[in-house]
Amino acid sequence: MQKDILKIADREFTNRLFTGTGKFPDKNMIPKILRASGSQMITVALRRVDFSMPEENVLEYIDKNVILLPNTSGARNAKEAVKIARIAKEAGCGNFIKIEVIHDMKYLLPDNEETVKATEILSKEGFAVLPYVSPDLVIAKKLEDAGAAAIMPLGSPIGSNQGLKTKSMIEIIIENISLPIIVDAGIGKPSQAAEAMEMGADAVLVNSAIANANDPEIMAEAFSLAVKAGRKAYLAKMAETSKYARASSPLTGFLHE
Amino acid sequence: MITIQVNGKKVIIEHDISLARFLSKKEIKKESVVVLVNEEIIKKNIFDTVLLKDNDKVEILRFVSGG
Repeated sequence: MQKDILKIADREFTNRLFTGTGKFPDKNMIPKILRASGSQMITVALRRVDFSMPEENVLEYIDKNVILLPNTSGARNAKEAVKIARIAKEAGCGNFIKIEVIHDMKYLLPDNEETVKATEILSKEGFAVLPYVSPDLVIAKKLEDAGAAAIMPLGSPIGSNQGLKTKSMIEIIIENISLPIIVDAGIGKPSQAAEAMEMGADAVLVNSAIANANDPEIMAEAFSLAVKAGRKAYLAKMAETSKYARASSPLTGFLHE
Repeated sequence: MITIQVNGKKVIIEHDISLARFLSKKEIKKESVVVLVNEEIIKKNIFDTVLLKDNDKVEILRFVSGG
């Protein structure tokens, strides 16, 4: 069987589970999570240094072979997202950027329009732009035209662990957009990650469900297995469903005949 | 002495201090941060030569955990 490779911009991935560095009670957990999940890309955020409580540098916990995906969290519009992206690039973290424009603080739902604007500007500047959006085919097409490297539709609100509430909308995007589709946000269980992969998502990004698990390391492994299982099932093409039973054993030659 | 703004807070510092020296006084490794002075991203290789001036707005940022 040919190697199953996911290409995003100029980078190739053999593992389709991406992870985040958020919410871990102890940063020493991050390298363990990376090992257990096999993840080849991980998100980080950019913030002001707090002099009263200097935080350690999260990059020190991330293996150099793992691709950094800085997010633009904190951005409330395209302008702020562009600024954060440029700063992240200057910091020497490569050219991948997850565009996240949020001003709804209750559901943390992204502003799709501003995200398109930021994607257009940053793609032209040579960024590999991965926009985080509410699943909408029209927006996905605009993002494709704007030069996005992949599209990251949300399954349900960030950190909610509600799973694929937007499943049908994501399926429409998968069917009609040729860019890699990475389901990001809301995936709470490995079975939901497998479900996303079975329906043809190219990858998933999981953070809270791993970080908040009682044992994040084992959960990272569980997600990794689920993503692999879902992907293989998608590639194998699932058998059809039917309303009535279809016998698995021959319906002739019974003993009572 | 001059007054600059660092991450939104007023700070009084000596005259003619370089960005590199300011960071080392604050015990911040330059490798781990990104610095903007008056909205301009400052490249790390010129931290020594950038002198902070009165009323400069300095932003010192770093990568933190996030999803």
